[in-house]
Amino acid sequence: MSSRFVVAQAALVAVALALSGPGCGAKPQQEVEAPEVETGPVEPVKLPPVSPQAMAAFEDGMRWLRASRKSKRAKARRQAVDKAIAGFREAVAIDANLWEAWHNLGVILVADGDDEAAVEAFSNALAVNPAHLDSLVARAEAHRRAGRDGDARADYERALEQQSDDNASRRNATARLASLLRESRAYDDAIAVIRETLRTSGASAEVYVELALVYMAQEKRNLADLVLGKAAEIDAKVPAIYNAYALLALARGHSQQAFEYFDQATSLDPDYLDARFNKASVLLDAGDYPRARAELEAVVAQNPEDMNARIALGVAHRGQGEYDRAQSIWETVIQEAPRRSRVRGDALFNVAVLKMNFLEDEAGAGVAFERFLQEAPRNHPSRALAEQKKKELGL
Amino acid sequence: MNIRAFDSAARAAGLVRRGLIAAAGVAIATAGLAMWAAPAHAQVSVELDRGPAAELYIRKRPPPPASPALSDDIERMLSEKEAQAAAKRTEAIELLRGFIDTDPTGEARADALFKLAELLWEDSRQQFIANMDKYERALEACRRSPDSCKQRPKEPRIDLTESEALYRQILTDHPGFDRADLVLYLVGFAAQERNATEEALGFFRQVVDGYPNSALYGDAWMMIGEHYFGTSRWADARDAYANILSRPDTATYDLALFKTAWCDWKLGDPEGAALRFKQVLDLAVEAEASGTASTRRRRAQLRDEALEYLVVVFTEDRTVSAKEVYDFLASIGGERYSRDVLVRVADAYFGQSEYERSVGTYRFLIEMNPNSLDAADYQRRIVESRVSALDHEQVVAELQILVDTFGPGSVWSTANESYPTRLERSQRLTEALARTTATNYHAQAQEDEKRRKKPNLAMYRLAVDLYGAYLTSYQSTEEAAEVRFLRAEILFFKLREYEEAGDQYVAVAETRPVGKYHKDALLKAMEAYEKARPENTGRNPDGSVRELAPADRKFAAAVDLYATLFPADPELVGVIFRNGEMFYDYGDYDEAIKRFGLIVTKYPDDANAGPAGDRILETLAKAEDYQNIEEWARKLKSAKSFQAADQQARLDRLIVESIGKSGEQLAEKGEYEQAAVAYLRVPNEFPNHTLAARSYMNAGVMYEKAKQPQQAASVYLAMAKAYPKAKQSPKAAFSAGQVYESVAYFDRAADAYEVVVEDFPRSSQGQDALFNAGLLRQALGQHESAITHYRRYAKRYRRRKDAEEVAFRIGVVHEEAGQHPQATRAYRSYMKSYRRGGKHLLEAHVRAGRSELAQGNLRSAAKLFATVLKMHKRLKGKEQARARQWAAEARYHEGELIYRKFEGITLDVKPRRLRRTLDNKTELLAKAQDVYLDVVDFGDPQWATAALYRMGSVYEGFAESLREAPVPAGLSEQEAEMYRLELENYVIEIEEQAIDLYITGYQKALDLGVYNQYTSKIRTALGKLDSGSYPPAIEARGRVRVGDRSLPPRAVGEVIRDE
Repeated sequence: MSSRFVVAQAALVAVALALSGPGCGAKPQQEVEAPEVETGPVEPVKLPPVSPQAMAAFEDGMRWLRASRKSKRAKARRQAVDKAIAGFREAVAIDANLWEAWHNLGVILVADGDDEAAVEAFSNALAVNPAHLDSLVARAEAHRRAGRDGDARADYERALEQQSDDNASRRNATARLASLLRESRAYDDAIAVIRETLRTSGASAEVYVELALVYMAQEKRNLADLVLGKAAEIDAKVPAIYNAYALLALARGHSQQAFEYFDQATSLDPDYLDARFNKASVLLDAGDYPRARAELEAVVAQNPEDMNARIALGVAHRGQGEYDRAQSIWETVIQEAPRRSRVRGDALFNVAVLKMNFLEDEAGAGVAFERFLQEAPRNHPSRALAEQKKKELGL
Repeated sequence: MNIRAFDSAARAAGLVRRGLIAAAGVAIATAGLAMWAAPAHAQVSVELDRGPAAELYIRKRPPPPASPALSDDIERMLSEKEAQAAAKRTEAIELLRGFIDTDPTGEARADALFKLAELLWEDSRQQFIANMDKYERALEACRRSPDSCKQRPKEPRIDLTESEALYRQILTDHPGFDRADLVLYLVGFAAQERNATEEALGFFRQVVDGYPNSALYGDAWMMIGEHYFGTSRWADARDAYANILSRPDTATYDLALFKTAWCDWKLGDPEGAALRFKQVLDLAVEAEASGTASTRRRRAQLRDEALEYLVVVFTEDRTVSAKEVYDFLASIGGERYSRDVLVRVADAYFGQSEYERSVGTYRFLIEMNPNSLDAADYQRRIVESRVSALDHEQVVAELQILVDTFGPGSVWSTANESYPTRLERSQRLTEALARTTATNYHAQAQEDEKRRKKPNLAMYRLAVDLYGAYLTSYQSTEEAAEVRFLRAEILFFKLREYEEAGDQYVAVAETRPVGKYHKDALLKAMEAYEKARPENTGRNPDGSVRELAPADRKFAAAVDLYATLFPADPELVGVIFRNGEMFYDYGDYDEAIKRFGLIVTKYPDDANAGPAGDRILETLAKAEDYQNIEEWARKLKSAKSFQAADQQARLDRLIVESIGKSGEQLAEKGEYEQAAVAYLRVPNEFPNHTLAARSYMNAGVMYEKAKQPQQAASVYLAMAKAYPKAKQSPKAAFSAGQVYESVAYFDRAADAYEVVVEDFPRSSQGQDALFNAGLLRQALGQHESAITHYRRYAKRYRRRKDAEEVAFRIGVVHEEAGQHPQATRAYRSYMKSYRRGGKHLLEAHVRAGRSELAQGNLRSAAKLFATVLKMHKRLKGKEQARARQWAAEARYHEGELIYRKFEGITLDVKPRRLRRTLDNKTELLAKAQDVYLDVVDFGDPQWATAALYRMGSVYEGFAESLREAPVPAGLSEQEAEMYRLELENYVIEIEEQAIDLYITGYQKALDLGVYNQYTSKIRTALGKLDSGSYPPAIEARGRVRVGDRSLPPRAVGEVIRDE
């Protein structure tokens, strides 16, 4: 028996115990150790047949998951998602080797924003089936969102080692690794990853877009322009190209051009929420609040968890004089967003400004600014302005 | 009695006589010497050795060899000893003679006479021996060289005259001499030698009568019996012998017994004879166990004789079978002699040409003890019998039995391993018999053919079969090769069984060591196979390739073996070549190449080497075996027949082409990296070959396919550098650039394009390379390089369509680099070059104007902007609409120029000049406003928004400057206050105008969907001037997202488990 198999079995036993105990609830109660995955391609694991009870629970989970995607009402969707989670949890409680259920659980938890639980679920899936690339990449994404760039990078790289053949999953992993490295300012590493992808997978619009983003981060705008041109030559229908072009235009101070590119991106893919958010951002900069609001409402409707969009939506409402609505939105963000997150800080600040400048509630504004200063991250860019406003309020 | 029996009887008689002569001689000599050394009356104990061996030694010893067997020293020593003995004897004789001359009397005289007689007897005997020696030498010489032998030598006789006289004197003078019996016997003996038979018999009878207890009693009767035996008086002889048989202790008892048996047989009593012969055999057996050496020897001789006579007894009756002989011997207690007897019986039958009976007897002997060593001998005799009987079929059968049953590795052989020497000897004899039988038949067949002038095929077949029988057991003997060769000869020349003959010849050639038959065998094997091969070699009647016949392959193998064993044979190469041709015809290219290759590698100097080399290459080409083509072409390069320059060039071309084909094959298999390595071998090894550059190029392509872009680019560049004159080189360098670009090495790509630009400027890639180099350098922010390339491009390719674009881009790059003078010059250059119909003519003017502005050249700028507007005005329809952006910008800059003037007028003037100053400013403001409004009229959202913002900002700035303007000096406090109020009212009015303009601009921008920086600035300005209506947006929010979204993970919808 290989050491890897032993670890995987041990992990499964631990998970099974955790799930079968009285503490079994929405989240597994016991930390599952990440599998020791060897480098290089991993052979698929031969698994025993699934017990019928576990299979029934799994299928139940799948039914609810599909239902959640069809549901248009938030409450009904939530209920469906919860039932899907319950189904998958029951499945893995019966048969801890049912890695498909672990993976699907992770998928739902990622969508729910529960990155830690998602990492755990994906880890359990990988403990049983280390060859499942999607679980590995999904875990990397969850790590990344949770701010563990090192773990995320390790997972991305492992995914690339496991999958030597060119395919969509590998290209996605490569692009995500490159973007992680870019965000970490490891530009040379990012470019090396992209070059390797170009070598092994050939050129693609997506890869060139990522390269352009790296160049933009390096302020090599002409180079960014060049590679975006190449991306468009390959596939002019890729919306990310225009989002990047827009960013480049913005960097050059060409807002109109940026707006038009953002618009083009959202035209190509109405679900491209980042471009739509960016478009709204330009509209807000220009003071076109009604149009900004329309765009942002579309974003929030598709992704209610997009806190930044909700913050911006509040600004649009405020620009249209809908102060209560703006305040309500920001207050919700204050409640839902992580305590020390930047977006929560934005909401705190905006509530304070709203009270001071538009609701003429100086007392409340003072309190709000004070709360912002207390609770916002130390590097929040609005701190200085908040201090200034406090002074203006005589505080 | 037949001849054989009679001869034996005669020999038996002679044997006895000679034995007595010798015995008498020895006895006398010994007695004489003993007497001399011992007291005069001491009885000499004489051991009679009348055995045949002694006699045989004297009479039948072989002649001395030409070279003495003894060394000179020993020979000399022996001669000296003999001479010493003779001298002493002579001295003794002289002494005795002297003594006798003194007339002694009595016993002293008798003893002296006796001893003198003995010495003289010995002297005579010595003389006789010496004479016999001479005689035998002479006889041998005659035998050896009959021509030189004029007269047959006469056999010497012993001369005992003087001794006899002395013995007779003793008898006469000393009748009471104590050894009178001996003296009588010797006198009788001497008489016998003188052929005085009756006289001799008288003396012998005196001995037996007068001295019945004498030791010589038996001898004397023996001499009497022998006399009768010799004269065929069988009954008298048997009577004489009977006296001896009554005294079993007598020394000659056994001989007497034997002679008695003989007499019985002669007297018609075969059973009695057989019984006595059997008693002789018993004595021999007894002597073997306990007899003295001499007895053993004598009785062994007698035994043999007895056996022979037993055989004679048995073979006389033709009805007696071997089994019956055996049964008879068993009945008389002689079973133990049955084997010896039967052997002799069988031999006798054989000698009498009674072959069936001899075979039967030998077979009976074999059956008695099949594993005995002698069994092989019996079977050999059977074979000989069959041969003698001319029973050919049986010869083959019996010979086969012989080699199978008694040959190497047989059960019989194993059973006799404990007798290695005898076993080896027997096997040697068997082998020799098997071989010689076959060769004899072969010789006989040849003899027969010579005689009859046509071959006796049956006889030859017999010889073949016999050789075959031999070879079944003797494949590795020294003679096996010869035997096989002879067999092959018959098969080939007489029986015309060619393939089998070939096989036999080849088998000969495969033996080691290589001997005298090998070469001939192989040549004949080739000839045999050649004859055995089917006609129309290589092709069926319909022309299709036929499969190789076994004889073809054997022929080829024979040639190969010949080439291996006799590489120096001058005719060999031609044969091998022909062999290769055969395989070539059959389409068996591997085999063909082996032959041709052998010629090329082993016989490079042969005339066939060249054609062979050609054939190899043709063959390999047919098989499309390029690796081998290359390999052979390389080998052929050192072949003598390919040393000519054109041949070397041809081989080089073949090697290169083969490498290329190998590369192609690897590429077809998807082994691109290996293909690249293969292609690279050409330029590495044949850098001057015409295909070297192409191979380099192919290597690069292969590396590209192998997803090794950096290697590919390196190869391309190396190729371009190494082969600057090759037509592929520009393309290679250009490809390097493309490859580097494909993996985002843009700096390296630019370098590669520049190689094309510098080294291959006139190539078809030169233009694109120059453009790409410029583009990449520009993208890399290397403006100088980019501009240099663009300039070069614009100049070199000025007639090309994109030359205009590039010329224009030069200005853009300068402008981006903040090099405004250069940018101006570039744009002006463009404007000049493309003044008619230039696509960027208006833009170039505007950009040139921008650059002039940046340099402070306002007049030049104004001129340029005015030109733009004029040009735009001249445009019509869509062209005008397309160019409105530049016209609007030009007009905007015109407004800016007016604004500069406006700003240049300071309000820090004396009060009396203030009004005029304000009027001037207001006038300029109005002018600027008109111009900015013109901009809006162009309908370009960008510049309209900019103009509207500018209008507002101009008013706002004017208001601000007024508000900040210092109160003129010299006013009282009240006047100053009045001044400020008046001015404030004016400022407010201006500010309101500014707000109005901003609001207009803002609404316009929103209406048009213009969200540029001017829209934002307007909105900011409004937030500042009218924060109630346009509150500033100071809220915190996220700005833009890069959009590198991750794909949301997909759920797994199905559970699959392998059973």
